Amino acid sequence: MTMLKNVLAITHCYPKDNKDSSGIWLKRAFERINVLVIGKWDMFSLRRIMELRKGKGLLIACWVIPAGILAYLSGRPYIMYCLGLDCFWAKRHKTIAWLFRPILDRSVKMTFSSRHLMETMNAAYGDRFLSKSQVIHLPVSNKEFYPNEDPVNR
Amino acid sequence: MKILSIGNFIKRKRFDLCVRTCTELRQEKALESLTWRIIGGGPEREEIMKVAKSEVELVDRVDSLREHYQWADLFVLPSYDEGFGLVYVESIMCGCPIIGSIGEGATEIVEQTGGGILVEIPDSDREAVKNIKRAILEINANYSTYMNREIIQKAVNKMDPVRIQQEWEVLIEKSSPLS
Repeated sequence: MTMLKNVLAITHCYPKDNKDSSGIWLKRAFERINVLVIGKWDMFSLRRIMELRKGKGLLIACWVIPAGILAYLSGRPYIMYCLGLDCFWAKRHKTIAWLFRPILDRSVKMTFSSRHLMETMNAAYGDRFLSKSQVIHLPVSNKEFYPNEDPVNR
Repeated sequence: MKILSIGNFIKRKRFDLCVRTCTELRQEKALESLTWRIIGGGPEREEIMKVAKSEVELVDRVDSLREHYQWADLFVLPSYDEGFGLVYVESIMCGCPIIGSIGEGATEIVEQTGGGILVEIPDSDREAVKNIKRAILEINANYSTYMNREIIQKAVNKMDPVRIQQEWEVLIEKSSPLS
């Protein structure tokens, strides 16, 4: 499988092995995209920031914290992939919404895993980001949940 | 009827409502037979165990969920703050209709596939349980309306990994500084 060039996804949540289900959907969605798995506190790591600043091309930051902050500090263009807690926190807490704002502002695009999340996030910012928002669903494994047998006649 | 609920044992999943609904349905003898299985794990396991008593089957996290979806006639998860809820789609793909909360991640799935019912979960638990019970009985009475091949196919198409990878690739192409 050929990997896409000039794009790197950053996330702190990615399956460690085949038995690990945390962030399994990211693995399915980014099959052709290189993924950099970071630590939860890497947004404070100067080494990590410098490493990203040296690179070129587009970033996909999964979750505002910590990946979005790192993408912002890298100075590179990035797609902000907002997931559940990002959106619920921004809507509920004004301070968090204020902190997230420059990160969302600088993103090239914003993606959400559901319409509900896109609406929740945009409600926190008065639809300021609606024009660059897009829903891309989480993939579900056909092989695992929709095998050849007929599910209706189980 | 065999009912399944899956999720982390945390408050927002509202497993307490599942247990109460199960208890009431049994007391009212509203269904011929009823087995309710809850699969999960997490910080509030002990609390759920206390509420669950012998009303529901509690199962620890399992490697493969497919056989459990296939065992069940219905999937119920009346949670809040549910961004999307992959479990709802997985359930429909395995031929099991769903009940989820209105205005949460499940809304889009039910609206686009028709594979279940959305219920209002108000502050009053009594009202919430009433709504869940009503939805269970409705699906039980009209099962083929909420689960058929067309519904399954819609869920499969919607979450197809190949299509979703392509969507990402188009977005990357459009957003790339080098394009």
